[in-house]
Amino acid sequence: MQLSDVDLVTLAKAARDSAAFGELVRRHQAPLRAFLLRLTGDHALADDLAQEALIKAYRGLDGFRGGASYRSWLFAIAIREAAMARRKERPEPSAAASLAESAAPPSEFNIDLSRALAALSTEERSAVLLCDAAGFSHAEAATAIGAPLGTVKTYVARAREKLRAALTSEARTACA
Amino acid sequence: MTIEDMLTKDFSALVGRFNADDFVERLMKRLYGADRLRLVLVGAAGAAGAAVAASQFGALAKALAGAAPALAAFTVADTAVSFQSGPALLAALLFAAIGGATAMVLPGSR
Repeated sequence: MQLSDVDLVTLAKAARDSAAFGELVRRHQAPLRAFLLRLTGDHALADDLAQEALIKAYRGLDGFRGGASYRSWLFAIAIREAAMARRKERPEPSAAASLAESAAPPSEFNIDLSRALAALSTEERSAVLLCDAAGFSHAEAATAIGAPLGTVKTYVARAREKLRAALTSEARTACA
Repeated sequence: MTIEDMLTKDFSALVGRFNADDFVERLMKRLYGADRLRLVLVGAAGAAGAAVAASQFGALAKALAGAAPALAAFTVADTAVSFQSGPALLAALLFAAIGGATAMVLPGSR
């Protein structure tokens, strides 16, 4: 029988059980890194942020009260880390530009979609990636982003609309 | 294909790729490596502290006997099972209290 995230957190908290925390890492590291890669557009930075977030989660396990899902708590830490890195590194506009330049390589990720994603605000990008790519519910995404539920729904809707518009215009340009 | 489908497909491909690399092993090594190092440092500091404390034990017992003779000769539980709180016992209790207080503030203790 597979233990739930909450069971594993309880085990990891109670006895600093490394196997339990290892299982939590194994479950969530890949989605977390995929999310951070698409959020930042930088593979190395995404991995660094994921590592920091997981270490902070380990050290701050006592702060997880179980009110939200473990993954939304973990992603909230990662989003805060990403925001701090952004503030340290460079102002917002160039972060988006760098995403446009470097987000494409790893998979056959659509270059147009990559560019369209880069044009979104960080909040819209986070919201649409969490809800449409990572499969979070709106409530989970709201916890992760730290915004009210209604605001997150607006972010997602606005992001979808912008992505659709950008892709349509790219397609028209390609046809012309 | 809708935008949601494109995002989901891309995300699944990335997750598959990330599940196959050695990120978890590297992270766990870093995490528990730091913990082990901290344990070794705390252990070494504790051993050094205990050695210093032990070397001062006799002097402390003497000082306690001189400073508070009444307390040092106090009989604990004057019944069939009773014992006197000699200066050595007081010194030991003092060290135990210091050790306990240190353990409570150590990082990672709860």
